[in-house]
Amino acid sequence: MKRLTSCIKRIGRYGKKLIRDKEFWAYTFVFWGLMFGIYLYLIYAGMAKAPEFTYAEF
Amino acid sequence: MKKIAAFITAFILFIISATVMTVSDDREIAMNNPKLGLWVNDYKDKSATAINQNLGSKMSLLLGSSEFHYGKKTKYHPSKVFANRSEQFMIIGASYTQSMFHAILVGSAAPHMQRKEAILLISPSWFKAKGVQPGAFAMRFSETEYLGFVRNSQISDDLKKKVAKEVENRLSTYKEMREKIHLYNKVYVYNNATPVERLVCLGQRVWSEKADHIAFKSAVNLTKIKRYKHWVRPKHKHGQVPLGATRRWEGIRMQAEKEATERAGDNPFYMSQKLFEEKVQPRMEFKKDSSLRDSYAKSPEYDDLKLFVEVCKEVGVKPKFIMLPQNGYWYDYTGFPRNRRDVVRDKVKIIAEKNNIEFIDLYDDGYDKYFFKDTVHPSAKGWIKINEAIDLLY
Repeated sequence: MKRLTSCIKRIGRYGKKLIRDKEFWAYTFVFWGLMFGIYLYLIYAGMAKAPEFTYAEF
Repeated sequence: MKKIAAFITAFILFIISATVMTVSDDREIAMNNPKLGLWVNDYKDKSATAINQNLGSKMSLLLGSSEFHYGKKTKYHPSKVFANRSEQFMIIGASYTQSMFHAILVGSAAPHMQRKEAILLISPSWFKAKGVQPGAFAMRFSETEYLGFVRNSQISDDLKKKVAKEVENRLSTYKEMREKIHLYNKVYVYNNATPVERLVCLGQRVWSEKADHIAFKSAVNLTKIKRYKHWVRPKHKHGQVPLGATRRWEGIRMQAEKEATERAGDNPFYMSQKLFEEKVQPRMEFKKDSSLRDSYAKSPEYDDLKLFVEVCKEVGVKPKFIMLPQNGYWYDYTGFPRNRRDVVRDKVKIIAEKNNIEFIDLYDDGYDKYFFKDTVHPSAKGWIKINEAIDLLY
């Protein structure tokens, strides 16, 4: 139990340090941007992938 | 360590933002605007969610094909004529959206329809000997509407199996979609999927519904934003009666006839002079007597139409037919024998009679001068006649 609480405290201390770390936020933003970009790309690529057919009117 | 922590944080943020996006999408797609039904747009046609969430209590389905894309900027198009009337329609149709497409659509939309009625504009050109080409079928196929169809518990397993078989056959040119449909069929139609397949199917379904949302929203926001805003707040000058607000079709018909006659010029097919010069004249020599062997007597489209009726019956939707004409002067020129053309009207009429379906026959207007904008699509004059028929059936 003591080990667990000390581990949580250590994580908390590390977390507090990270929140003030600009480099950490820069990396977070880049990773988030990449993930969200891929997500949007996959959705829009799926939309644009519909097959085409030449409309023969006559 | 810092990078790992950043990655984990980014992943959590991504999950939150994707969830927020999904929830806001769900809210925005239901636009609570009956005028949305009159919007003629391919993305709307393919989006089960957009159709289902915007079906108003007084709204009937108005189904057809390419004719909806002709004259849509004119005041004679149904999207304008019915814009300020009590009758409400969800217009769905583009080139090659024929009976099978509409059968799937009705099967998918029925549970969301309060006014269970579907008016189908039937074009003779649907009934070619080979039916819809696989490429054309694939172009118009909607994954989300198909999902809605196979998941509709009102539809019998036998009917689902018939449609499933046909759809898999017709998607021969679109293998990626065919594989997806095969999986959906295993899960929802044949009930022989493994647990892993069910899981993959769930993922595929959620993903396709998401893509459907975004495609429709993009179409609304980017393509037609001005027009859509106009619909939300229609602006009519004080005292001006919008066209179609009265039932005086006669006055509108005269106006439309005058306009169609002026646009027709002096071509031998009584069609729009502009379209004649652009599309018909360059091919006239090649088209002369090119349809001598053609016939509408046998076509897989008749079975598709029967399937459409069957689906309507099972889901409790009342189908109503309007038989459209085609430009008789042009088809005479191509040598398409008249008796082998006219058979289409008789065969469709028999299907309607056997199933007690209200049927309005405009087929004889094929020789009505200035009815057409080109060889098959209606002009201003043609649209007014069709609108009258729609009005009668609503």
